[in-house]
Amino acid sequence: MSNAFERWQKMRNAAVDRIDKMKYERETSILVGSATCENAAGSTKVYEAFKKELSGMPDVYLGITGCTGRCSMEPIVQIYKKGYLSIKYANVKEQDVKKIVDEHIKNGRIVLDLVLAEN
Amino acid sequence: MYKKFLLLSKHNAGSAEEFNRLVNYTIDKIQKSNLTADVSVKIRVNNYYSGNDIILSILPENYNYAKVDERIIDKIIDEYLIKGKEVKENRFDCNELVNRFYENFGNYNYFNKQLRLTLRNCGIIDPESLDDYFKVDGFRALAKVLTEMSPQDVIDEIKKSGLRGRGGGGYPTFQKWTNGARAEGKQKYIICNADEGDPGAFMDRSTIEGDPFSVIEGMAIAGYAVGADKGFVYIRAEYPLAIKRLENAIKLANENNLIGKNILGTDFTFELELRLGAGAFVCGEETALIASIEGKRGMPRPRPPYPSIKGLFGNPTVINNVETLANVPAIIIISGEWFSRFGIETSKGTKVFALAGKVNNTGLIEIPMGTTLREIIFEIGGGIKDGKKFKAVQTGGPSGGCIPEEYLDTPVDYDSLAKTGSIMGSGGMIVMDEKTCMVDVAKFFLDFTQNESCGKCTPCREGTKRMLEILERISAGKGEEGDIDKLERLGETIKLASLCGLGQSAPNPVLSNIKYFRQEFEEHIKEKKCRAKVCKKLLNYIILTEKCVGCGICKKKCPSGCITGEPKKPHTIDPLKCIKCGICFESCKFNAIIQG
Repeated sequence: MSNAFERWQKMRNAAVDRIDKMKYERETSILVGSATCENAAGSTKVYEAFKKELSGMPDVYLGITGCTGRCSMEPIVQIYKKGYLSIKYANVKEQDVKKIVDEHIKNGRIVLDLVLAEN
Repeated sequence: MYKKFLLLSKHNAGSAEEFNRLVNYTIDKIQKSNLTADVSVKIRVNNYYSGNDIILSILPENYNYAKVDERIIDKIIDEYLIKGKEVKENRFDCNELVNRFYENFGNYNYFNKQLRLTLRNCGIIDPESLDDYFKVDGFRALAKVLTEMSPQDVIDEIKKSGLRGRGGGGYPTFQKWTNGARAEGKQKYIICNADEGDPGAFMDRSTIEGDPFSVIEGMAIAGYAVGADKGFVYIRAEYPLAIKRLENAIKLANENNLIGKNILGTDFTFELELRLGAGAFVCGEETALIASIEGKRGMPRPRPPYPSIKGLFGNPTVINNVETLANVPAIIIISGEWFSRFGIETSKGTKVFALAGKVNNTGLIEIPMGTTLREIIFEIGGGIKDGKKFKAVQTGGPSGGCIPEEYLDTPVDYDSLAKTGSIMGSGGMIVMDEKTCMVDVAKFFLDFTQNESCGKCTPCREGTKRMLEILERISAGKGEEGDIDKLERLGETIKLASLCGLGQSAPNPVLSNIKYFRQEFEEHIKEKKCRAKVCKKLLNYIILTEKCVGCGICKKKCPSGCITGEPKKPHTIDPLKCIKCGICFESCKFNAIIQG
């Protein structure tokens, strides 16, 4: 009879296996902010636009995450590419999505005017 | 685009001089090595390590080095950054739990003064995926507790951490749990208070929306420590997304035997349910909250007996705030001792604030206790909007007060804020500039509490109403000599005689504003003047004859017909008929109308 910790360990291993394959081992991950504040700023539309724009691209994960705290700059979109620091885009609008996908996701060129960066 | 970040941090006790020297040395060295385009050197708050030395972290690899000096910097830059050879010397494993945040965020100016413990997973994981929560060691704390810790061990660990209630009161969490554990009763309950009602506060909402599993796990651990097998989350119905995510989290946790009957095969059972509040402010008060869950009208009752002895349905009940509970899993996984390294002697850990008002960077922030208000407003917040002058910062919402510029160096902790006449509160922080009228602010908050008073006890019901009437009179230019004394006397009486926290704290915004901005109140009363030009009834509109061209626009727009004058000749306003709406002031294209 295994104890609680061993049971947890087993569950965790299986879960991490699943989420790694789905999310963390992908070449690119896109996380769109999703919270009451984010949605009010229009993040749901941005998410849908990404979904449309990304259809047919196999090695990209599109998901949601909670509020990052920069409420005045939302919607926030985070892009992870293997081997690079993550990039956060701020004030992303539906019409910016195509540009982010074409430039950053497909060609690795960061869309500088949208980056949430230091002054 | 930088490929790497070198982050330097020091422990509080370290010498600032030496630290700055090393930072400059590192920047220099990066320049000399022609790496400026790829590597950025940054300073950050020390977030996990307790030594007195300087720490260097390399991102995105998350390599951490202790006892950093020139030699180590040289070695890291020459060997690792240039040749790609890993440097193992002085490298240590730090707990990923906290550091992930920095790895992920690019906006270093805003984030480096912050430390995210409560919000450790917010903006990192998918709040709707249990697998993603597992990835960040989700439910490890619960598994650990059920395998190797007794309920008393858990309470001892929380005691070591120094965690205090984050709802605003600051009662030691271990004490509450001990009281609950010792209380007699077969049935015990854990309640998570997510009835966040302060105007402008959204810390709990963001915590639940970004990381609902942590709250659930914290509740289950509390249940184990106290001996409760049932828990309720009392959350306001106005938070539909937070409710949806909590429901989803509870469902997934139930399906995976992480809450419910015989959790992880042990004999510990913890069932969890949601209870939706209708948004009454008073239901954030624990006894009113309990009444509301029981299906009664949400009204407080006198304490003692405290809920931990006699609470929900007469049974021992421990009520904790969302933020308090979200901290619990981290404390259990790492240690209470670790948690107690953050913050200051009397207030440990971090506090989440909803930073709002007239600052450049508004948003949700989490800072180590002991950070000063100045650091929050001018460094994290980026200063006052439009270059205006800072006037005051309001903490604690309708139960707190305003803090003026002289006290900007007050560290944020329970006791220091209480000394200024404000309170820590649940985490609302509103920054005000010179264009804010302190009488108006006092009126705003009192109007809120007056509306939200449940009406059970007279001091609160009648007292706040009378205070509001006086304030309304003052801001309408009908203030009388002695009004300030009346407000103070009434306020002190309400504080003393009210039944619950709502009434006991309702006069705070008024009293603290009188304390620090008495002159402004006196100006309103004696000179009938509002220096911030907010109290409309105190404003006079005058047409400057030398500037008025007689275009007649103001005359046409004036709703009370108080402006007279021939075309192309200067007009005049009849002050007796003027209703002070300000429309003429806004419509004049020649700046010929002034407010005074």
